[in-house]
Amino acid sequence: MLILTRKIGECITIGEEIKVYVVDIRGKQVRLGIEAPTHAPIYRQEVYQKILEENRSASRVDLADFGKLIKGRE
Amino acid sequence: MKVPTSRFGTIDIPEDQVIYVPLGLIGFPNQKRYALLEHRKGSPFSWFQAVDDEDLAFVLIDPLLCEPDYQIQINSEDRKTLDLPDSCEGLQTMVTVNITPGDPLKITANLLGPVAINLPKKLAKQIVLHQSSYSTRHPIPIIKR
Repeated sequence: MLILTRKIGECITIGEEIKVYVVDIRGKQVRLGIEAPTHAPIYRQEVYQKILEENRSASRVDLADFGKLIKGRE
Repeated sequence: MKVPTSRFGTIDIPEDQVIYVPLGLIGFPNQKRYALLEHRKGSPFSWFQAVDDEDLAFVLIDPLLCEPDYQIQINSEDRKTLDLPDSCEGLQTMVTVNITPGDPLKITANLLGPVAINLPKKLAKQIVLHQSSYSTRHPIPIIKR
């Protein structure tokens, strides 16, 4: 992993299209400003991870099981 | 077009009904074409079947059936992807449904990562709600018609 030291107002460029600015630092929190193209969506890692795991799990629903489970719910 | 699926056999979908998901769903970035199929006629459940992966399908439901006050915010990036410059007309928000492992009587909905579908333009995107207390495992109550 590449580790860089930056000050408030400084920036990191990733590839041609992505820029990450250090906007503010307060105690243990860092505010980042991120510019990226639409095809590179930006997520908070923990939220992204939760949805990723849920998608993987939800993609394995079995048709027969599901048919039985939703009986009475339709 | 004929679409082979592992759950429903080969299904026939008009090409203009195929929904394009430019970024894919999270975790499935390579699957960009889906068909939206009613589970049964009049059912609140639909299937979101990948056109190019016969095994990949999600169950979708209208989130308002799970949470009557459900609201999401669509930001400018989402609008761009969904080709919705001015209004949200024609936008249908759906959420994926899951069976809770180990407790098959409970089914849940992912309210944190809804799938927004621009029905007239056949474009969809999974929206990530960053500032939200919604859960990826929201219990689905009995649905009354």
